[in-house]
Amino acid sequence: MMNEKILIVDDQYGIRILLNEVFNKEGYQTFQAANGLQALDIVTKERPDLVLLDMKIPGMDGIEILKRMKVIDENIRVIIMTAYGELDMIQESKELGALTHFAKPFDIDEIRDAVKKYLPLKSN
Amino acid sequence: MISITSAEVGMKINEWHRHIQKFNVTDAEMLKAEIERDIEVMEEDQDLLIYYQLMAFRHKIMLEYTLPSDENRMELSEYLNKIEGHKKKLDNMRAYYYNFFRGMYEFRNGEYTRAITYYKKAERKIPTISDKIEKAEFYFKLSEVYYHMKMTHISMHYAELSYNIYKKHELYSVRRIQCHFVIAGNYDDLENHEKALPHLQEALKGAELLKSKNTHIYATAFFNLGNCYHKMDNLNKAARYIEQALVQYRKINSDVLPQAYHDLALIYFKQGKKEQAMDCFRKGIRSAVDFKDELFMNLFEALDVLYIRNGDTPKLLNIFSRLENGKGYPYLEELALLGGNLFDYNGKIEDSIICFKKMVYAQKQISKGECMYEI
Repeated sequence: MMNEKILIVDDQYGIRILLNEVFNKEGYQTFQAANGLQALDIVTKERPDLVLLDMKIPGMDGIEILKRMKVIDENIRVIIMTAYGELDMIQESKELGALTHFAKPFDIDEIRDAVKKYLPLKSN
Repeated sequence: MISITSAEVGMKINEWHRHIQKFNVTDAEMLKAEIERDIEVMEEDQDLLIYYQLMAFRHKIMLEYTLPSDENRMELSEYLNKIEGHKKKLDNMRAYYYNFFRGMYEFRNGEYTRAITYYKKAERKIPTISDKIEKAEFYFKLSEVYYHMKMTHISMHYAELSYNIYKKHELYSVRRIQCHFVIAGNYDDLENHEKALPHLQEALKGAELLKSKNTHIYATAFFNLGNCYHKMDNLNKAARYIEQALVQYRKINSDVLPQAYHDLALIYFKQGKKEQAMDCFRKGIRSAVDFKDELFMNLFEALDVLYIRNGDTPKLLNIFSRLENGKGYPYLEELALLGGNLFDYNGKIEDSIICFKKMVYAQKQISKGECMYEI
Protein backbone atom coordinates (compact mmCIF):
# COMPACT_ATOMS: atom_id res chain seq x y z
CA MET A 1 0.00 0.00 0.00
CA MET A 2 1.34 3.44 -0.91
CA ASN A 3 1.68 5.91 1.94
CA GLU A 4 0.80 9.58 1.68
CA LYS A 5 3.74 11.57 0.36
CA ILE A 6 5.34 14.60 1.99
CA LEU A 7 8.05 16.71 0.40
CA ILE A 8 10.33 18.67 2.75
CA VAL A 9 11.98 21.68 1.08
CA ASP A 10 14.67 23.40 3.14
CA ASP A 11 18.27 24.30 2.38
CA GLN A 12 19.22 23.46 5.97
CA TYR A 13 20.18 19.82 6.35
CA GLY A 14 19.37 19.76 10.10
CA ILE A 15 15.75 20.78 9.49
CA ARG A 16 15.38 18.26 6.67
CA ILE A 17 16.62 15.31 8.74
CA LEU A 18 14.51 16.32 11.74
CA LEU A 19 11.26 16.63 9.76
CA ASN A 20 12.14 13.51 7.79
CA GLU A 21 12.57 11.60 11.05
CA VAL A 22 9.28 12.86 12.50
CA PHE A 23 7.10 12.19 9.46
CA ASN A 24 8.72 8.90 8.54
CA LYS A 25 7.93 7.65 12.03
CA GLU A 26 4.34 8.83 11.59
CA GLY A 27 4.04 6.61 8.52
CA TYR A 28 4.35 9.11 5.70
CA GLN A 29 6.58 8.57 2.69
CA THR A 30 9.01 11.48 2.70
CA PHE A 31 11.13 13.24 0.10
CA GLN A 32 13.72 15.96 0.62
CA ALA A 33 14.85 18.90 -1.51
CA ALA A 34 17.55 21.45 -0.69
CA ASN A 35 16.58 23.96 -3.39
CA GLY A 36 13.81 25.01 -5.74
CA LEU A 37 14.93 23.02 -8.76
CA GLN A 38 15.15 19.77 -6.79
CA ALA A 39 11.74 20.50 -5.26
CA LEU A 40 10.05 21.09 -8.63
CA ASP A 41 11.65 17.95 -10.02
CA ILE A 42 10.24 15.86 -7.14
CA VAL A 43 6.81 17.49 -7.50
CA THR A 44 6.79 16.56 -11.19
CA LYS A 45 7.98 12.99 -10.70
CA GLU A 46 6.50 11.98 -7.36
CA ARG A 47 3.39 14.14 -7.07
CA PRO A 48 3.64 14.58 -3.26
CA ASP A 49 0.36 15.15 -1.40
CA LEU A 50 1.77 17.85 0.83
CA VAL A 51 4.84 20.10 0.82
CA LEU A 52 6.60 21.67 3.80
CA LEU A 53 8.27 24.63 2.16
CA ASP A 54 10.89 26.94 3.66
CA MET A 55 10.60 30.48 2.31
CA LYS A 56 14.26 31.44 2.39
CA ILE A 57 16.24 29.29 0.04
CA PRO A 58 19.24 30.25 -2.10
CA GLY A 59 18.32 30.91 -5.71
CA MET A 60 14.59 30.61 -6.31
CA ASP A 61 12.76 31.90 -3.22
CA GLY A 62 9.79 30.22 -1.55
CA ILE A 63 7.17 32.35 -3.31
CA GLU A 64 8.58 31.50 -6.74
CA ILE A 65 8.76 27.80 -5.85
CA LEU A 66 5.16 27.88 -4.61
CA LYS A 67 3.94 29.54 -7.83
CA ARG A 68 5.71 26.96 -9.99
CA MET A 69 4.47 24.06 -7.88
CA LYS A 70 0.91 25.28 -8.34
CA VAL A 71 1.45 25.33 -12.12
CA ILE A 72 2.58 21.68 -12.01
CA ASP A 73 -0.17 20.62 -9.62
CA GLU A 74 -2.82 23.19 -8.75
CA ASN A 75 -4.20 21.00 -5.96
CA ILE A 76 -0.90 20.50 -4.17
CA ARG A 77 -1.13 21.26 -0.44
CA VAL A 78 1.62 23.49 0.89
CA ILE A 79 2.57 24.52 4.43
CA ILE A 80 5.19 27.22 4.59
CA MET A 81 8.00 27.72 7.10
CA THR A 82 9.52 31.13 7.78
CA ALA A 83 12.42 32.44 9.80
CA TYR A 84 13.89 35.91 10.22
CA GLY A 85 12.43 38.82 8.29
CA GLU A 86 10.12 36.89 6.00
CA LEU A 87 6.83 37.98 7.52
CA ASP A 88 5.88 39.86 4.36
CA MET A 89 5.97 36.58 2.46
CA ILE A 90 3.30 34.94 4.62
CA GLN A 91 0.37 36.94 3.24
CA GLU A 92 1.57 36.55 -0.34
CA SER A 93 2.01 32.79 0.03
CA LYS A 94 -1.47 32.43 1.55
CA GLU A 95 -2.93 34.33 -1.41
CA LEU A 96 -1.14 31.79 -3.59
CA GLY A 97 -2.85 28.96 -1.75
CA ALA A 98 -0.55 28.03 1.14
CA LEU A 99 -2.59 26.36 3.89
CA THR A 100 -0.82 27.76 6.92
CA HIS A 101 2.60 28.80 8.12
CA PHE A 102 5.05 28.04 10.92
CA ALA A 103 7.75 30.36 12.19
CA LYS A 104 11.11 28.81 13.02
CA PRO A 105 11.85 27.54 15.56
CA PHE A 106 8.53 25.71 15.43
CA ASP A 107 6.87 23.32 17.84
CA ILE A 108 7.20 19.81 16.42
CA ASP A 109 3.83 18.75 17.83
CA GLU A 110 2.08 21.70 16.22
CA ILE A 111 3.57 21.02 12.80
CA ARG A 112 2.80 17.32 13.20
CA ASP A 113 -0.84 18.13 14.07
CA ALA A 114 -1.14 20.49 11.11
CA VAL A 115 0.17 17.85 8.72
CA LYS A 116 -2.23 15.26 10.18
CA LYS A 117 -5.09 17.74 9.77
CA TYR A 118 -4.36 18.54 6.12
CA LEU A 119 -3.10 15.10 5.19
CA PRO A 120 -4.66 12.38 7.32
CA LEU A 121 -3.14 8.95 6.85
CA LYS A 122 -5.66 6.71 5.11
CA SER A 123 -4.22 3.66 6.83
CA ASN A 124 -5.19 5.14 10.23
CA MET B 1 17.49 44.91 20.82
CA ILE B 2 20.21 42.23 20.77
CA SER B 3 21.35 41.42 24.28
CA ILE B 4 22.81 37.93 23.92
CA THR B 5 24.99 36.26 21.34
CA SER B 6 24.11 32.98 19.64
CA ALA B 7 27.32 31.49 21.09
CA GLU B 8 26.03 32.14 24.61
CA VAL B 9 22.65 30.64 23.77
CA GLY B 10 24.47 27.68 22.19
CA MET B 11 26.26 27.10 25.51
CA LYS B 12 22.91 27.14 27.30
CA ILE B 13 21.58 24.54 24.87
CA ASN B 14 24.65 22.40 25.68
CA GLU B 15 23.72 22.65 29.36
CA TRP B 16 20.08 21.88 28.53
CA HIS B 17 21.32 18.70 26.82
CA ARG B 18 23.16 17.64 29.98
CA HIS B 19 19.90 17.97 31.96
CA ILE B 20 18.04 15.94 29.34
CA GLN B 21 20.71 13.22 29.50
CA LYS B 22 20.29 13.02 33.27
CA PHE B 23 16.45 13.13 33.01
CA ASN B 24 16.45 16.30 35.17
CA VAL B 25 12.99 17.28 34.01
CA THR B 26 12.57 20.43 36.11
CA ASP B 27 16.00 21.86 35.28
CA ALA B 28 15.55 20.99 31.61
CA GLU B 29 12.13 22.68 31.52
CA MET B 30 13.45 25.81 33.22
CA LEU B 31 16.42 26.10 30.94
CA LYS B 32 14.26 25.47 27.86
CA ALA B 33 12.01 28.39 28.87
CA GLU B 34 15.06 30.61 29.47
CA ILE B 35 16.53 29.71 26.07
CA GLU B 36 13.23 30.47 24.34
CA ARG B 37 13.26 33.94 25.91
CA ASP B 38 16.89 34.42 24.83
CA ILE B 39 16.13 33.45 21.24
CA GLU B 40 13.65 36.35 21.06
CA VAL B 41 16.43 38.89 21.66
CA MET B 42 19.37 37.00 20.18
CA GLU B 43 21.36 38.00 17.08
CA GLU B 44 20.16 36.28 13.89
CA ASP B 45 21.60 32.77 13.60
CA GLN B 46 19.92 30.01 11.58
CA ASP B 47 22.31 27.34 12.91
CA LEU B 48 21.35 28.15 16.47
CA LEU B 49 17.67 27.78 15.59
CA ILE B 50 18.35 24.31 14.15
CA TYR B 51 20.31 23.34 17.25
CA TYR B 52 17.44 24.54 19.45
CA GLN B 53 14.98 22.64 17.26
CA LEU B 54 16.96 19.40 17.56
CA MET B 55 17.20 19.76 21.33
CA ALA B 56 13.51 20.62 21.69
CA PHE B 57 12.73 17.38 19.85
CA ARG B 58 14.99 15.43 22.20
CA HIS B 59 13.42 17.20 25.19
CA LYS B 60 9.96 16.11 24.06
CA ILE B 61 11.03 12.48 23.72
CA MET B 62 12.65 12.66 27.17
CA LEU B 63 9.30 13.84 28.61
CA GLU B 64 7.45 11.04 26.81
CA TYR B 65 9.90 8.56 28.35
CA THR B 66 10.01 9.94 31.89
CA LEU B 67 6.36 11.01 32.19
CA PRO B 68 4.52 8.61 29.90
CA SER B 69 0.80 8.34 29.42
CA ASP B 70 -0.63 4.86 30.01
CA GLU B 71 -0.73 4.00 26.32
CA ASN B 72 2.65 5.48 25.43
CA ARG B 73 5.19 3.69 27.65
CA MET B 74 8.51 3.06 25.96
CA GLU B 75 11.51 0.88 26.71
CA LEU B 76 14.96 2.45 27.13
CA SER B 77 16.10 0.96 23.82
CA GLU B 78 13.16 2.57 22.05
CA TYR B 79 13.93 5.87 23.75
CA LEU B 80 17.54 5.75 22.59
CA ASN B 81 16.47 4.77 19.12
CA LYS B 82 14.11 7.74 18.97
CA ILE B 83 16.55 10.36 20.20
CA GLU B 84 19.39 9.14 18.00
CA GLY B 85 17.24 8.97 14.89
CA HIS B 86 17.61 6.86 11.79
CA LYS B 87 21.27 5.84 11.33
CA LYS B 88 22.08 8.14 14.31
CA LYS B 89 21.67 11.12 12.01
CA LEU B 90 19.96 13.27 14.65
CA ASP B 91 22.55 12.46 17.29
CA ASN B 92 25.46 13.17 14.96
CA MET B 93 23.95 16.52 14.07
CA ARG B 94 23.42 17.35 17.75
CA ALA B 95 27.01 16.41 18.60
CA TYR B 96 28.24 18.54 15.70
CA TYR B 97 26.34 21.61 16.93
CA TYR B 98 27.37 20.94 20.54
CA ASN B 99 31.04 21.28 19.63
CA PHE B 100 30.49 23.97 17.03
CA PHE B 101 28.77 26.35 19.45
CA ARG B 102 31.25 25.56 22.24
CA GLY B 103 34.04 26.45 19.79
CA MET B 104 32.27 29.66 18.82
CA TYR B 105 31.80 30.60 22.46
CA GLU B 106 35.48 30.01 23.31
CA PHE B 107 36.56 31.92 20.18
CA ARG B 108 34.48 34.95 21.14
CA ASN B 109 36.04 34.89 24.60
CA GLY B 110 39.52 34.84 23.09
CA GLU B 111 40.20 31.28 24.30
CA TYR B 112 41.68 30.22 20.98
CA THR B 113 43.24 26.92 22.06
CA ARG B 114 39.94 25.73 23.46
CA ALA B 115 38.06 27.09 20.47
CA ILE B 116 40.20 25.03 18.11
CA THR B 117 39.80 21.92 20.27
CA TYR B 118 36.01 22.13 19.94
CA TYR B 119 36.04 23.08 16.28
CA LYS B 120 38.20 20.01 15.65
CA LYS B 121 35.67 17.85 17.50
CA ALA B 122 32.89 19.33 15.36
CA GLU B 123 34.97 18.66 12.27
CA ARG B 124 35.25 14.99 13.21
CA LYS B 125 31.45 14.79 12.94
CA ILE B 126 31.47 16.25 9.44
CA PRO B 127 31.88 12.87 7.65
CA THR B 128 28.61 11.76 9.26
CA ILE B 129 26.80 14.69 7.67
CA SER B 130 25.98 13.73 4.12
CA ASP B 131 24.93 17.19 2.96
CA LYS B 132 27.71 18.89 0.99
CA ILE B 133 26.45 22.41 1.56
CA GLU B 134 26.42 21.86 5.32
CA LYS B 135 30.07 20.80 5.05
CA ALA B 136 30.91 23.84 2.92
CA GLU B 137 29.25 26.12 5.48
CA PHE B 138 31.36 24.64 8.26
CA TYR B 139 34.59 24.94 6.28
CA PHE B 140 33.74 28.53 5.43
CA LYS B 141 33.14 29.40 9.07
CA LEU B 142 36.45 27.79 10.03
CA SER B 143 38.22 29.77 7.31
CA GLU B 144 36.81 32.98 8.81
CA VAL B 145 37.77 31.98 12.36
CA TYR B 146 41.36 31.15 11.38
CA TYR B 147 41.55 34.33 9.30
CA HIS B 148 40.67 36.41 12.36
CA MET B 149 43.24 34.44 14.35
CA LYS B 150 45.77 35.36 11.63
CA MET B 151 46.45 31.65 11.05
CA THR B 152 46.74 32.41 7.39
CA HIS B 153 47.63 29.06 5.86
CA ILE B 154 45.02 27.12 7.83
CA SER B 155 42.40 29.69 6.92
CA MET B 156 43.41 29.35 3.27
CA HIS B 157 43.04 25.56 3.49
CA TYR B 158 39.45 25.76 4.75
CA ALA B 159 38.52 28.55 2.36
CA GLU B 160 39.67 26.36 -0.51
CA LEU B 161 37.72 23.33 0.77
CA SER B 162 34.63 25.47 1.06
CA TYR B 163 35.09 27.17 -2.31
CA ASN B 164 35.58 23.85 -4.09
CA ILE B 165 32.13 22.74 -2.91
CA TYR B 166 30.38 26.04 -3.58
CA LYS B 167 31.74 26.36 -7.09
CA LYS B 168 29.81 23.22 -8.02
CA HIS B 169 26.57 24.74 -6.72
CA GLU B 170 25.42 27.62 -8.85
CA LEU B 171 22.99 28.97 -6.27
CA TYR B 172 25.64 29.80 -3.67
CA SER B 173 27.15 32.82 -5.39
CA VAL B 174 27.28 34.95 -2.22
CA ARG B 175 29.35 32.33 -0.40
CA ARG B 176 31.67 31.98 -3.42
CA ILE B 177 32.28 35.73 -3.29
CA GLN B 178 32.89 35.56 0.46
CA CYS B 179 35.40 32.75 -0.10
CA HIS B 180 37.27 35.03 -2.52
CA PHE B 181 37.28 37.75 0.16
CA VAL B 182 38.80 35.41 2.75
CA ILE B 183 41.43 34.07 0.31
CA ALA B 184 42.37 37.61 -0.75
CA GLY B 185 42.50 38.75 2.90
CA ASN B 186 44.93 35.95 3.63
CA TYR B 187 47.12 36.88 0.65
CA ASP B 188 47.10 40.48 1.92
CA ASP B 189 48.23 39.27 5.33
CA LEU B 190 51.07 37.45 3.58
CA GLU B 191 51.95 40.75 1.84
CA ASN B 192 51.24 39.01 -1.45
CA HIS B 193 48.84 41.59 -2.83
CA GLU B 194 49.35 40.61 -6.46
CA LYS B 195 47.81 37.24 -5.64
CA ALA B 196 44.96 38.84 -3.75
CA LEU B 197 43.88 41.03 -6.65
CA PRO B 198 42.51 38.32 -9.04
CA HIS B 199 40.34 36.98 -6.22
CA LEU B 200 39.00 40.44 -5.44
CA GLN B 201 38.31 41.11 -9.12
CA GLU B 202 36.50 37.79 -9.42
CA ALA B 203 34.50 38.71 -6.31
CA LEU B 204 33.55 42.08 -7.83
CA LYS B 205 32.45 40.37 -11.07
CA GLY B 206 30.18 38.06 -9.05
CA ALA B 207 28.90 40.88 -6.84
CA GLU B 208 27.95 42.98 -9.87
CA LEU B 209 25.44 40.32 -10.85
CA LEU B 210 23.86 40.57 -7.39
CA LYS B 211 23.97 44.34 -6.93
CA SER B 212 20.19 44.85 -7.06
CA LYS B 213 19.61 42.18 -4.42
CA ASN B 214 22.70 42.48 -2.25
CA THR B 215 24.12 45.99 -2.08
CA HIS B 216 26.28 45.17 0.92
CA ILE B 217 28.32 42.54 -0.86
CA TYR B 218 28.66 44.77 -3.94
CA ALA B 219 29.95 47.62 -1.74
CA THR B 220 32.33 45.30 0.10
CA ALA B 221 33.77 44.01 -3.17
CA PHE B 222 34.76 47.60 -4.07
CA PHE B 223 35.97 48.29 -0.54
CA ASN B 224 38.22 45.24 -0.38
CA LEU B 225 39.75 46.08 -3.76
CA GLY B 226 40.35 49.63 -2.57
CA ASN B 227 42.06 48.43 0.59
CA CYS B 228 44.25 46.03 -1.36
CA TYR B 229 45.42 48.84 -3.68
CA HIS B 230 45.96 51.02 -0.58
CA LYS B 231 48.29 48.36 0.83
CA MET B 232 50.09 48.33 -2.53
CA ASP B 233 50.47 52.14 -2.25
CA ASN B 234 48.49 52.60 -5.45
CA LEU B 235 46.55 55.49 -3.96
CA ASN B 236 44.71 56.58 -7.11
CA LYS B 237 43.14 53.18 -7.65
CA ALA B 238 42.54 52.73 -3.93
CA ALA B 239 40.61 56.03 -3.77
CA ARG B 240 38.57 55.19 -6.87
CA TYR B 241 37.39 51.86 -5.47
CA ILE B 242 36.65 53.16 -1.99
CA GLU B 243 34.68 56.08 -3.48
CA GLN B 244 32.51 53.51 -5.27
CA ALA B 245 32.18 51.46 -2.09
CA LEU B 246 30.98 54.57 -0.25
CA VAL B 247 28.26 55.23 -2.83
CA GLN B 248 26.90 51.73 -2.21
CA TYR B 249 27.33 51.72 1.59
CA ARG B 250 25.45 55.03 1.77
CA LYS B 251 22.47 53.50 -0.05
CA ILE B 252 22.00 50.99 2.77
CA ASN B 253 23.31 53.19 5.60
CA SER B 254 25.84 50.46 6.40
CA ASP B 255 27.70 50.41 9.70
CA VAL B 256 30.89 50.09 7.63
CA LEU B 257 30.51 53.79 6.67
CA PRO B 258 32.82 55.13 9.45
CA GLN B 259 35.60 52.80 8.30
CA ALA B 260 35.09 53.59 4.61
CA TYR B 261 35.14 57.37 5.26
CA HIS B 262 38.19 56.96 7.48
CA ASP B 263 40.16 54.98 4.92
CA LEU B 264 39.26 57.35 2.11
CA ALA B 265 40.13 60.41 4.21
CA LEU B 266 43.52 58.85 5.00
CA ILE B 267 44.20 58.18 1.31
CA TYR B 268 43.25 61.77 0.39
CA PHE B 269 45.50 63.11 3.16
CA LYS B 270 48.37 60.97 1.82
CA GLN B 271 47.68 62.31 -1.68
CA GLY B 272 47.70 65.88 -0.37
CA LYS B 273 44.03 66.39 -1.37
CA LYS B 274 43.18 68.31 1.77
CA GLU B 275 39.75 69.58 0.79
CA GLN B 276 38.45 66.13 -0.16
CA ALA B 277 40.12 64.62 2.89
CA MET B 278 38.41 67.13 5.21
CA ASP B 279 35.04 66.42 3.61
CA CYS B 280 35.45 62.67 4.26
CA PHE B 281 36.83 63.36 7.72
CA ARG B 282 33.76 65.40 8.73
CA LYS B 283 31.26 62.93 7.25
CA GLY B 284 33.15 60.06 8.82
CA ILE B 285 33.04 61.55 12.31
CA ARG B 286 29.31 62.13 11.91
CA SER B 287 28.75 58.49 10.89
CA ALA B 288 30.99 57.19 13.72
CA VAL B 289 28.89 59.19 16.18
CA ASP B 290 25.65 57.96 14.58
CA PHE B 291 26.78 54.33 14.83
CA LYS B 292 28.34 54.88 18.29
CA ASP B 293 31.55 53.46 16.81
CA GLU B 294 34.13 54.31 19.47
CA LEU B 295 37.00 52.63 17.66
CA PHE B 296 36.60 54.86 14.63
CA MET B 297 35.98 57.95 16.78
CA ASN B 298 39.49 57.29 18.15
CA LEU B 299 40.91 56.70 14.69
CA PHE B 300 39.39 59.95 13.37
CA GLU B 301 40.93 61.74 16.32
CA ALA B 302 44.27 60.23 15.29
CA LEU B 303 43.83 61.55 11.74
CA ASP B 304 43.14 64.95 13.26
CA VAL B 305 46.39 64.80 15.28
CA LEU B 306 48.52 63.54 12.42
CA TYR B 307 47.19 65.41 9.40
CA ILE B 308 45.27 68.44 10.64
CA ARG B 309 47.27 69.53 13.70
CA ASN B 310 50.52 68.23 12.22
CA GLY B 311 51.45 66.13 15.21
CA ASP B 312 50.68 66.39 18.88
CA THR B 313 52.62 63.52 20.41
CA PRO B 314 51.06 63.49 23.93
CA LYS B 315 47.60 63.46 22.37
CA LEU B 316 48.61 60.68 19.99
CA LEU B 317 49.97 58.63 22.89
CA ASN B 318 46.65 59.12 24.64
CA ILE B 319 44.84 57.70 21.60
CA PHE B 320 47.32 54.81 21.48
CA SER B 321 46.45 53.93 25.07
CA ARG B 322 42.75 53.74 24.16
CA LEU B 323 43.55 51.17 21.48
CA GLU B 324 45.41 48.87 23.83
CA ASN B 325 42.92 46.03 23.91
CA GLY B 326 42.33 42.81 22.00
CA LYS B 327 40.33 44.37 19.19
CA GLY B 328 42.40 47.54 19.13
CA TYR B 329 45.95 46.14 18.77
CA PRO B 330 45.85 45.59 14.99
CA TYR B 331 44.62 49.19 14.56
CA LEU B 332 47.24 50.41 17.02
CA GLU B 333 49.94 48.66 14.99
CA GLU B 334 48.81 50.35 11.77
CA LEU B 335 48.31 53.74 13.39
CA ALA B 336 51.70 53.70 15.12
CA LEU B 337 53.39 52.78 11.83
CA LEU B 338 51.55 55.59 10.08
CA GLY B 339 52.56 58.05 12.83
CA GLY B 340 56.18 56.82 12.83
CA ASN B 341 56.54 57.24 9.08
CA LEU B 342 54.87 60.64 9.10
CA PHE B 343 57.05 61.99 11.95
CA ASP B 344 60.12 60.54 10.24
CA TYR B 345 59.17 62.27 6.97
CA ASN B 346 58.76 65.57 8.84
CA GLY B 347 62.14 65.18 10.57
CA LYS B 348 60.68 64.56 14.04
CA ILE B 349 62.96 61.62 14.74
CA GLU B 350 62.28 61.30 18.49
CA ASP B 351 58.54 61.25 17.97
CA SER B 352 58.88 58.72 15.17
CA ILE B 353 60.90 56.43 17.48
CA ILE B 354 58.13 56.61 20.10
CA CYS B 355 55.63 55.55 17.43
CA PHE B 356 57.77 52.72 16.08
CA LYS B 357 58.31 51.41 19.63
CA LYS B 358 54.56 51.43 20.12
CA MET B 359 54.14 49.58 16.85
CA VAL B 360 56.54 46.85 18.00
CA TYR B 361 54.67 46.67 21.30
CA ALA B 362 51.35 46.21 19.46
CA GLN B 363 52.88 43.49 17.28
CA LYS B 364 54.07 41.64 20.39
CA GLN B 365 50.59 41.81 21.90
CA ILE B 366 49.09 40.42 18.70
CA SER B 367 51.67 37.61 18.67
CA LYS B 368 50.72 36.71 22.24
CA GLY B 369 47.14 36.34 21.04
CA GLU B 370 48.34 34.14 18.19
CA CYS B 371 50.25 31.82 20.48
CA MET B 372 47.59 29.24 21.04
CA TYR B 373 49.54 26.33 22.38
CA GLU B 374 49.79 25.74 26.10
CA ILE B 375 52.11 22.72 25.94
